[in-house]
Amino acid sequence: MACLALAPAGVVWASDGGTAPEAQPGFSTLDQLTPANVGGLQPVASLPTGSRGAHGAAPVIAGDTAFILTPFPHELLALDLRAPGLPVKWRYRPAADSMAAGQGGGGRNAPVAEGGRVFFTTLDGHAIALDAATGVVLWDMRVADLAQGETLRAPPLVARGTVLLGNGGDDFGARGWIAALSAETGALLWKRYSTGPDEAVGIGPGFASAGQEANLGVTTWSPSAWQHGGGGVSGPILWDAAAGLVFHGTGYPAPWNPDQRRGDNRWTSGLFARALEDGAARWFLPVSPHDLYALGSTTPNLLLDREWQGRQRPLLVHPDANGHVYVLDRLSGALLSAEAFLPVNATEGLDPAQGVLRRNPAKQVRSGGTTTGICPAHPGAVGGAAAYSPRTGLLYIPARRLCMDLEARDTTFIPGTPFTGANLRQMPAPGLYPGALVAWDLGAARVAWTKDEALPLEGGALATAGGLVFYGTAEGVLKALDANTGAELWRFQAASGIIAPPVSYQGPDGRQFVAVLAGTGGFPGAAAGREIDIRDATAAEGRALAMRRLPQPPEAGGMLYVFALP
Amino acid sequence: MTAKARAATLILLALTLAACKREERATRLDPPVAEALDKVAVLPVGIGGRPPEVYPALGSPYRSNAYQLSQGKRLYEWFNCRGCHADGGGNTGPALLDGWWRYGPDAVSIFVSIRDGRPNGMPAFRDRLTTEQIWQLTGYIQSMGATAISVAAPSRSDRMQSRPAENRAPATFPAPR
Amino acid sequence: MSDERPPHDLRDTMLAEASLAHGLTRTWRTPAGLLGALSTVDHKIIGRRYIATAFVFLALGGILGLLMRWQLARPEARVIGPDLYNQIFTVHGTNMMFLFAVPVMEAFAVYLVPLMVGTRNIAFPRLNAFSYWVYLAGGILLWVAFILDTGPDVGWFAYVPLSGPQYAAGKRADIWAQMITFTEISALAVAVEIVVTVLKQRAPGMSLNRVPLFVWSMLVTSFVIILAMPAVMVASTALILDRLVGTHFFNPAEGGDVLLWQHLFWFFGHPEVYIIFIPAVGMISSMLPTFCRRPIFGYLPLVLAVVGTGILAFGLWVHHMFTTGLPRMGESFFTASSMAIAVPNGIQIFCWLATIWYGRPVLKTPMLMILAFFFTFIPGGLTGVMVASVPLDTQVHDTYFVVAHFHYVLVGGAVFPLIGAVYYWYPKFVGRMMSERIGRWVAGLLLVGFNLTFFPMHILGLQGMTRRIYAYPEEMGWGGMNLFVSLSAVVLAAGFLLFFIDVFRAARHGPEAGENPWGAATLEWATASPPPPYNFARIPVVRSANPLWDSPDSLPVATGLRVDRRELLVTSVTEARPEAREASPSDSIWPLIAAICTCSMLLASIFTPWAVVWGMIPVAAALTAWFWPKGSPEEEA
Repeated sequence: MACLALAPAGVVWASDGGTAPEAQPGFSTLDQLTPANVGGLQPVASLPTGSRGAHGAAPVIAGDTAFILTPFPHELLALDLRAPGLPVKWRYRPAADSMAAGQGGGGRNAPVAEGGRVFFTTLDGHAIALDAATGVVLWDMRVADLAQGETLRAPPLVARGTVLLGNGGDDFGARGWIAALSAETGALLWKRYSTGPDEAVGIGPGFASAGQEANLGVTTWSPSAWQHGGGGVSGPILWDAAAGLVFHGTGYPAPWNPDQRRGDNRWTSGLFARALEDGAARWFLPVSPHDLYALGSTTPNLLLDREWQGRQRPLLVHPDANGHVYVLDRLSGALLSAEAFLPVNATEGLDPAQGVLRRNPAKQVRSGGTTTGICPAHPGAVGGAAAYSPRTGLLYIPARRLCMDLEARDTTFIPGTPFTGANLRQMPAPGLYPGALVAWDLGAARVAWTKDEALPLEGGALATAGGLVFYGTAEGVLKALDANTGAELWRFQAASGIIAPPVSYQGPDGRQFVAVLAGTGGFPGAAAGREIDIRDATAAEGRALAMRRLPQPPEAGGMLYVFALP
Repeated sequence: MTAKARAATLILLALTLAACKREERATRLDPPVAEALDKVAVLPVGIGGRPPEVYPALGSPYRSNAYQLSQGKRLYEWFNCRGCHADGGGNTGPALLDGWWRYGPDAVSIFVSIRDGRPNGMPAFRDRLTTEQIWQLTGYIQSMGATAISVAAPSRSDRMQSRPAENRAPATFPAPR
Repeated sequence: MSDERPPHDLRDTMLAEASLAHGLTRTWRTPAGLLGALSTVDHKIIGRRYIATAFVFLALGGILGLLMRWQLARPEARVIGPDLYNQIFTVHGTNMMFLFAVPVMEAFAVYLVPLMVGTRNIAFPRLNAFSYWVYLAGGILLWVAFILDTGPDVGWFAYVPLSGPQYAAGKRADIWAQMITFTEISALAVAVEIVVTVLKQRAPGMSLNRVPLFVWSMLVTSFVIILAMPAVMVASTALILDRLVGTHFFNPAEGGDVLLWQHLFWFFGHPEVYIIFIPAVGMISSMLPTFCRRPIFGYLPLVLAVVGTGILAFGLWVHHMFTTGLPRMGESFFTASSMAIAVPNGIQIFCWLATIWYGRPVLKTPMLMILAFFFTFIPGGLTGVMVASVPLDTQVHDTYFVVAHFHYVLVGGAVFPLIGAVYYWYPKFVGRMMSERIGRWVAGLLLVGFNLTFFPMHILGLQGMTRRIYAYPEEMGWGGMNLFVSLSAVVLAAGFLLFFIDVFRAARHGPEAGENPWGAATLEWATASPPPPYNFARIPVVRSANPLWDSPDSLPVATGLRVDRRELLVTSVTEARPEAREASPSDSIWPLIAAICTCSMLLASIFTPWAVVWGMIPVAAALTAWFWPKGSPEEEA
């Protein structure tokens, strides 16, 4: 709990994992801003970050310092919240291996502040710890091997002196893993994989299995395909201190072409609960076994203690890329509910006996063949981190409503090059806007209201105790909606598109501030975002054409905006 | 031989000797020639340079020979170029369709890019492709971003359609950003 | 109509023999010189050109065949590289099927059908001239492309996706596809002319049951052409569109179908071999009575068999696709129909055998070629029944067994009767006899050489030697038989060489032939050899199926046609009762110009689709000039 002491009450940042429902990512307990007064919200500061890349992560507020990690090549900025104009206290730029730029611009690397230190991961595979006050490097460990396609693109979790992080690089055929480093020294404590033999994965006596065979991480793959099987842990990791468990999702299997990896492809596209001490797996839920559409299950989760069908239960809520909201008992791993929050046709509802969604045979994918109109499209229906408001009981999911044509081709693993084997064309779901903020009634398991957007939403949402929902669009509009009704109450046009979640904090003067990082780097998600040619319908995995209405004015680059009531 | 017959023979001979370069299929290069093709002279900045001497001696085939271009197209798919560059539209790598070249449009620059890699994510393929294959890819990529329609350029693939075929779509330059 | 005759209305009733001949010659002759040659519409001149051109293509294609045999004579030979070999077998097949076999049969029809039905000229004579120029252009296109290393290399039936835009780089397959367009235009034109000539221009009294069997064959062939050729035109057009414009007819990823090509092509391709075979059947039915000195046995069954063959020919095409994974039930149907077509063929063969049995055979060269036909075509037909069975075909598809089969039926069934027909009608075309002695050598060399060359291919195919390989390894053990085949091919080539030598020699030095050197029965022998430009001084009237045998001394004639302008007699379809006098077009340069415009448009459209748009303009202009009305009124009889 020492971490909370650094900040006034109500501060939320990317990870803490406490079980209090109030301390969830995406929810601010501050209630100064209300639907009545949010109309008067004004920008009070705007600061260029100095980077023209894709800013996917929010600023992290720790006490009176805001930490911003720019996209690759990274620079960590520490801003002084006390002074007007937010001057930079110190900045740190680690040495960057420029080859990492080939991993793409969809990273959401963000810093984590804890115990007077700041921890962050870099796209070129380093985990770095700095002193939060001075910016001096405490340790710098290279944990991901870029030459094998591994990268780090998610914020780490700091829990009990351990730094937990997982790799990305499913598109490059990197075998997924989650590792724990010592927060003091950066030494590797343990490392568990998403594919392979039980020992490497962490399947042992403590694993909640129901007569499962051994080494599913090998037997559910074509021979030796698990060695380049993907399943990276490229989303946020959550921690339940009381239970001593960390929760994370695993990414989609590699290659995207399913015929080269026949079988259920354990343990990709699913949710894990692991023990913090040694990473031993406690339970696993397969969300999209033998993932045909490169969806994965790495979307941000929420840990909630709330009532479920009459009784209080410890829940893990997982809005998945396959378009369903999964509700699990996070201690036992039991699946309580999986309902679709937008129209999909790749699956036909939950099979309660199997605990997985039924596939639609019309959307089967075969190597060498083309399947058209698959909804949802890669990379999934969830565009940004969902936010939960305990006040309204609604889960606010920034959604993408795109469908795709997928052509699967045979591919070869060449280290350092993408290992996908599929070409995509994408288009908006028929009859629907391509983006939406979906307000999902968690208790009733249905949609409460939807706010349509002209483009898919790529940034997370922020819900406040004052009854507002904030989110940004790729066109650069930061909006505030009424959390109960979804009415738009306030908007602000930023100079760059927004693909990061907003945050809210209480400043030194007691006012409630809302801050957001803007900057998409051209076409969001593409490292060469400014050099996309939409005459190719498969550019940027097909999304370039689907998002062709994205305005392409010269962007101002990365900007931090801070708003408050005057 | 009558004058008419003589004229006819001469014309026929000329036609045969000027055998259509576009259609020639060299299925295998001699090893010394293949080795010599690697010897490009690159400018110190890494952009531009002089092709190897044997290249014009071969007739500069990689840009204008239909078979070489189709081989380049095959290699473009087989070596995962699509993962970063899509079908020329770009993804994590820049677009190759739009006639804008970070390191210049000439064949030597593109050859060096593929062979030695470039900063910001382009891997080096010198250990994964033969020199001839790299030249075939170079020629094909140039035809993707060409500004004039060429008869030798490949036509549409038997695949999911992503864009007009190389022989139908000259590059248009993107708006300045 | 009215009694008022316009001036200069000179009828053949008014003139005596000599001045009649003189007047008709002046009206119908082709002027000497280049312009006359280029603008002639005389079916005999055009027919001769067609035949000569087709035989030039035969010789060229034969050379390609010899090159292939040279390369295959030894295992892993280095005579010809793989790319050139691919072009050679493709051009060999394409040339033989599209530039030789069909055109030569059409050519004989163009020459003989008007003579056999007793009319002055073929219907639509300017279209006839146009069709020759387009055919010539198509042939030149293919061969010049081959010389320029741009010859097609995807097999004579150019399956997609090999010939499609992804796997056939460059323009080679486009040249193939466009050449199809040239030859199909030409064949369709001639087919239309034949149908109209046969149905509407027969001599009075030549009711349908008196029509010579060769004419019946050509009538059926023409209908088969009209119904089958559009399928391949659609296929080749779709292929060019796929390659040039980027359509997706044959792209399964975008909703097209690869098998569509095979269906379209073979829907044409199977009738195509009957387009080649049925005229040969007609030739045999024409020659056999002459050399058995009796009327043909079973005229009616023969006619019905020819018609039946033509109809059944459309129901066989899937037997080329037995290994594509089609449903078994469907394939079984085509097995049945492929075997069923042996029935009309069998009827024909038995009728011929009966003719020989009940006749007094004279073993002149044409008769020897007919016997060679029997000994070659029948085994070919038997292997055809074998490959009609799906399980057997699955084993031998794309092996030399199939190569042997189709050479047996095509060479035996079409080329041998054709050689016989050349020996038979050469006196009529040229006015001189070919050498009987050389003819026997030709027949012997061809029969022996052919069988020695192609019979071992059955065995090679059963041993597993696949088609279209440019070399084979030593270990397969095929080397010995391949060497034997290649050496035998030299014998076969020697036979053809002798034949060509005899053709050229006899033109200068052969003994003069009279009107009817063989003592044959049909109308073409009732006029001079070679026939005068107007064919017949007066239109003959026919009272039986063998007019020259039933009225040996003189034929009754119909009179009343004009001498001072080109006129012919139009008669009714079934009874051939005279209906009207029809003006026959005179010489015109517009067919050549229209052909040049059309061919330029088609050639340019290989490179850009805009050529079709811009090229339409000169074509339209040429056609307008061609069809510009002359203003002379028609008169009724």
